[in-house]
Amino acid sequence: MFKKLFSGTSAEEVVIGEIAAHIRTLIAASEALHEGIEKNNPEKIASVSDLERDGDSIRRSIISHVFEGAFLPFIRPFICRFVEMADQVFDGIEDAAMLYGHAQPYVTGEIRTNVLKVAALNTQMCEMLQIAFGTLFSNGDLRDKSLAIRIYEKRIDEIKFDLLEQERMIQPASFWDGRTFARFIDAITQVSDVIEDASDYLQIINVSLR
Amino acid sequence: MKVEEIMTTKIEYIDAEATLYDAVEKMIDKRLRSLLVKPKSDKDVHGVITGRDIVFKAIGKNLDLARVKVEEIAEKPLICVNKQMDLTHVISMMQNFNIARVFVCDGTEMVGIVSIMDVMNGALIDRAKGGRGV
Repeated sequence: MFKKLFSGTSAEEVVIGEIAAHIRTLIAASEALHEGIEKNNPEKIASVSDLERDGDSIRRSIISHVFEGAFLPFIRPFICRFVEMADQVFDGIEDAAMLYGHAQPYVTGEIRTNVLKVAALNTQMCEMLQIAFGTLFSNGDLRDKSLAIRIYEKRIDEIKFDLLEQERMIQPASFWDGRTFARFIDAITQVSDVIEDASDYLQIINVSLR
Repeated sequence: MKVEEIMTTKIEYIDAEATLYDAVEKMIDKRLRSLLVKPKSDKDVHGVITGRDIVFKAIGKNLDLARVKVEEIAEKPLICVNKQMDLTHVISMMQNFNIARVFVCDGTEMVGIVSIMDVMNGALIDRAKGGRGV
């Protein structure tokens, strides 16, 4: 697969390394959100924004390296699109982190249990995305990684159903409290959809290279 | 892999004296395939009622779901496992007893359920991570 992807320079290796770093930062951001909620640690929650900025910087570097000539031309848009998708995952995690401060008073009891489950599963999905990305360049089987991501996503879907029911039971103090809480639930539960899309995109890249 | 890595902690209970119709409603509302049946007294034990039980023991026999009580068709006692148990043992138990789920107990407390689908999904995820799958 390397032969098909590479134009023969080391620029590709730089990009692959940067994408791996991008996903590692994504995992760190997702872990920080989970830990911040679990331990009620505002500093951890705040660190998500810093990690998102780090991710942005890596993404810009990847895109510029790609357009400076890394990879054969036909594969460049695919690589860029995958990186943009990973960036959307960052955005979802950052949104959830920013909204959590205001939503926190309502994240209690079963809602809290379910939110923590979703946050943990989001991290596991990011880790699986990292494994899947590594597989793309090692002739491994991408299908089972993609299936694992879909299994995680189905689990989150089931929890999302419960959360939507529980969301309707809360008594917000104001319209804005209710809206912020609903947006927080949307943000944290939609992260998995984007990871699944990114994983599907890896599969598309894989197939297009055959 | 250990049971606690794949178990579902979402457990819904139903009273032994509730009707099968109540059970069906709860299963549909909560999107579940089984419900834990509460003991009737201190001397009683937990039971389980599944969609399979309702179809084979009531719907298939054309019984009125609103008249049959859960306790009449519930299976007792439950087959419980420890959360530290290895998945290979769970698979053997499911195969030997021809059951689709086992209950995870911590002393007398019910802490989770492991279904065949949980085993399959957990094994596939473990294999994707490079593990053995069970």
